[in-house]
Amino acid sequence: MPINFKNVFYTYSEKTPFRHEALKGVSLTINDGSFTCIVGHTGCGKSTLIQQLNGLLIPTSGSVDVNEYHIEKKNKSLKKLHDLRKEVGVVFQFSEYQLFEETIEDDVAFGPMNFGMKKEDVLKIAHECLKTVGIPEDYYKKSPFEISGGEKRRVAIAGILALQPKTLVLDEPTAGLDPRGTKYILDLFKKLNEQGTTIVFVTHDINIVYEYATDVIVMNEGKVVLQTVPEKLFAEDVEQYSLETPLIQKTVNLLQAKGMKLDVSKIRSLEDLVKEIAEARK
Amino acid sequence: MKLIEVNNLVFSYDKKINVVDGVSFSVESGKYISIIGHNGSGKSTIAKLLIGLLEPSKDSIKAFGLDLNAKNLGAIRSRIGIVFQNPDNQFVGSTVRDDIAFGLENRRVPHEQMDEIINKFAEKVRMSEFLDKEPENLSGGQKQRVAIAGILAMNPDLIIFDEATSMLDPKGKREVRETIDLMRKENPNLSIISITHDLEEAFSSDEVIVLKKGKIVGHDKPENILENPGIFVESGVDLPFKSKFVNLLSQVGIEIKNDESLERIVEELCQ
Ligand SMILES: Nc1ncnc2c1ncn2[C@@H]1O[C@H](COP(=O)(O)OP(=O)(O)OP(=O)(O)O)[C@@H](O)[C@H]1O
Ligand SMILES: Nc1ncnc2c1ncn2[C@@H]1O[C@H](COP(=O)(O)OP(=O)(O)OP(=O)(O)O)[C@@H](O)[C@H]1O
Ligand SMILES: [Mg+2]
Ligand SMILES: [Mg+2]
Repeated sequence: MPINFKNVFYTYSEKTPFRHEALKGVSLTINDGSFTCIVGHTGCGKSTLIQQLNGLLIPTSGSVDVNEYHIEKKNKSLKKLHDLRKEVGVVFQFSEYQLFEETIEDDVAFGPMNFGMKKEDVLKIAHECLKTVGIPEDYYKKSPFEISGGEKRRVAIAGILALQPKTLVLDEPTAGLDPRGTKYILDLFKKLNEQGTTIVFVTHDINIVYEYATDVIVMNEGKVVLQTVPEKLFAEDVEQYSLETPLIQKTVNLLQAKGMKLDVSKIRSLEDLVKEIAEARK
Repeated sequence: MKLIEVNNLVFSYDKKINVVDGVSFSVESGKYISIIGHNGSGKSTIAKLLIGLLEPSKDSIKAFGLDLNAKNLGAIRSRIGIVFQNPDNQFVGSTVRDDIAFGLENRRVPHEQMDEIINKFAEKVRMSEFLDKEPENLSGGQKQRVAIAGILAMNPDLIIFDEATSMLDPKGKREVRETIDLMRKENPNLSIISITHDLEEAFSSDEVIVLKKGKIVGHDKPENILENPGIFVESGVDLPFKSKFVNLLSQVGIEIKNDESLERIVEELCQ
């Protein structure tokens, strides 16, 4: 089932001087099996939005439907939220706040344990997930607080992968990863997506949107200003949404301005672009 | 003049593995230096050693001509500003305003000048509207902006940015860079050490240091360091877009002579 937001408002610290309306009537659909990227300026409400997806924040008004779960202020049941959180895994913007166990392997094992799996099975999954994100074996017994920033990010991602959620929500998961790790993790999400996992991905890196997204949601000041597919977004002038032009698109634009004929529909990566250039020069 | 001299710096958290393993480099006054390297290569550890948060090996760090030791630590710290990888580790004030003010008080800035300085730097990072908010209740990018403003306001001689703009939107990133460039114009002695995974940023600085497993495997001007692309691949760092593009073109038999800019490459391709 797709995810549906119906006229969602969210206000932080209501009835205090710090009151802040972060979502102002958001309606949107995230399709099952999509790789949906959410973009928009600093403070536009991306993190607030994605925290509604697993009931971490409950809309001040309006409603969110995720699979068979209906999230609405007057209808919040803890039991249901617990089940929802097994289906929707969220990796937060700051990985530190996701880590709390004494060892890295326990940290990754925590989620599945919490959902009733046996300790030995869980550890096996934990080790697999740690391997997947590039954390070496001699780290498993280390404290998750005594590692580098990018390593923490990897452990946090492993912790959510271990839940094998149907929907994977990632809030700037590549911030802090080294470029090789970034490429590797992105390809991993892509593979999961191809196997059926819905990916919701918050990012400021427009190049990621270009290469990986199937759908894009553009936000501005607590509102959704555009929901579309990358092909359509990048055919327009994206600067009107305060976005940058992806490097590949920029190169395509320059080449076309000089008269090169390119089949843009075939270009998703730098490799594709180079192939098309070679074609065009024949 | 050399602001920082690092000589055979060694550090271990567990007294077994050296996570910083014989690192030497110096920072000339006024230079903008980028440090890049894979996750866990030792970048943040070096930053913490430079400001004396971790204890460096004996006689391995000189800052502003002084040996970094317990006696000189106060004097050295008062001239270095650091923006940490996680901005939450930075905040001390209960509001954004207090937070920036706290740093100024530490530097003994007279009270009557404070408001003006706070307003100026909040404006530069576009956080003026948030001065009375609590730092912990800001968005990720807003936190980074506040952390940066707090350090810039202190007017240090050396600023260390540890992935300080990793969560900013592209416009925010550009504005921070413009602010820093402007400050460097006003004060030609202001030096920057920027730890970053953003290769486009690294390649727009004066010098790039490439770190791998606690060792420096490359240190040069951006235009020279690419002559040895092997070190990037080995150290978990990718090549910048332009170089990747030229390499891929060469693999299909298209050799680019002048890869100075994307525009030049395109010109050659369309000849
Ligand atoms: N706990 C909170 N209390 C009060 N206001 C908050 C809180 N968290 C966020 N806000 C405010 O809500 C707005 C939206 O914040 P949010 O974190 O959703 O932005 P974002 O789009 O994720 O930004 P970024 O790209 O910087 O991470 C911001 O103006 C922020 O200051
Ligand atoms: N507090 C700590 N205790 C023990 N080991 C640590 C601690 N902090 C970091 N390490 C280890 O030291 C090494 C260097 O870490 P450091 O944080 O300097 O890396 P980094 O280059 O900044 O990486 P990143 O790009 O991920 O931020 C890593 O192997 C890390 O696991
Ligand atoms: Mg956010
Ligand atoms: Mg670091």
